[in-house]
Amino acid sequence: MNKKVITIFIVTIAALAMLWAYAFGPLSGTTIPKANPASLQPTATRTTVNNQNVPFNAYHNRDLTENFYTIKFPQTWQSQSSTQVGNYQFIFSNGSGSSALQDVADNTTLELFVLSHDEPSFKKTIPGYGRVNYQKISVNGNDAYQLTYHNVASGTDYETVKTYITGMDHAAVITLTAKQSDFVGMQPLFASILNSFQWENK
Amino acid sequence: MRQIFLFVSLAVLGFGFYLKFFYDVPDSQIQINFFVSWFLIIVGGASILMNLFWSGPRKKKNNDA
Repeated sequence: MNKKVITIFIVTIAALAMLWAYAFGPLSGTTIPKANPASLQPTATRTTVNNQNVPFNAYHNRDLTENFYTIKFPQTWQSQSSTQVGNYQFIFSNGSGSSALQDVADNTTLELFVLSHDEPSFKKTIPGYGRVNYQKISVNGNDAYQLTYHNVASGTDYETVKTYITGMDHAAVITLTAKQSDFVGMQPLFASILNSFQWENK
Repeated sequence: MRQIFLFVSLAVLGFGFYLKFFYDVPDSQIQINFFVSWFLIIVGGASILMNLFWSGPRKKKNNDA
C-alpha cells in the first residue's frame, strides 16, 4: 500500500540527513569558500616609480570565481599571512597596505555602501578618525570611490587612503596607510599599487 | 485537498530554487543559505512526488444490485 510514497519519504529523510551533514555536520566546510593556495604565490615583476625601477610582487587572486584579480605590492613590504578569502595584508616601516574583497548587497550601490555603512563604522571604531577627502575615480576603467582619512594609532598620526573598486557582486578594497609625515612622499608608490589592480574576468 | 497540497509543494520548491540561484547571499550567510535552499528543494520535490504517487482508499464495489 503506497509503497512508492513510503520509499520517497524514506529517501527524503536520508537526503535531509546528508544535507545536514554537508551544511553543519562532519562534512561541512565544503560549502564555505576558502582561500586558494595559488593566490599566495606571487610572481616577481618590476615597476617604475618616480623614475626608479622598483621590484614588485604580482599576486593573482583565485579565491572567488567571479572575482579573480591581480595586484602588485612592493617586494620590500612584509606579507602578513591571511586566511581570509581574497585578502592580502602587508606592513612596512612607516605603514601598511592591504587588499580585500568586500561583499556588496544587490539592494545597494558601492557608493552608498561606503558612505552609509563603512564610514559611519570607521567613525565609531577608528581612533581619531577624520575624513580628509572623498572622491570618485577610475581604476583601470573600473568606477571606484576613494576615501582618505586621518587616524591615530599608538599616539602617532596616520593617513589612510581607502579605495573601493566596483566588481561583480564583490568590490575590491585597497587600503594604504602611512605616517602622516610620510604620506605625501608615499603617493607615487601608492598610485603604482592602485593602478596595478585589475579584475581578470571582466 | 490534494490540489492545495500540490500548490503549496510547488511554492516551497520554487522558493528553494529562488534562494539557491537568484537570492544575493551575504558572505556571512552562505552556509545557512546552502542548507535552507536545498532543504526547501528536497522537501518540495519530495512532496510533489508523494502527491503524484499517492493513491487514496479505494471505494468498495457495490454488489447489491
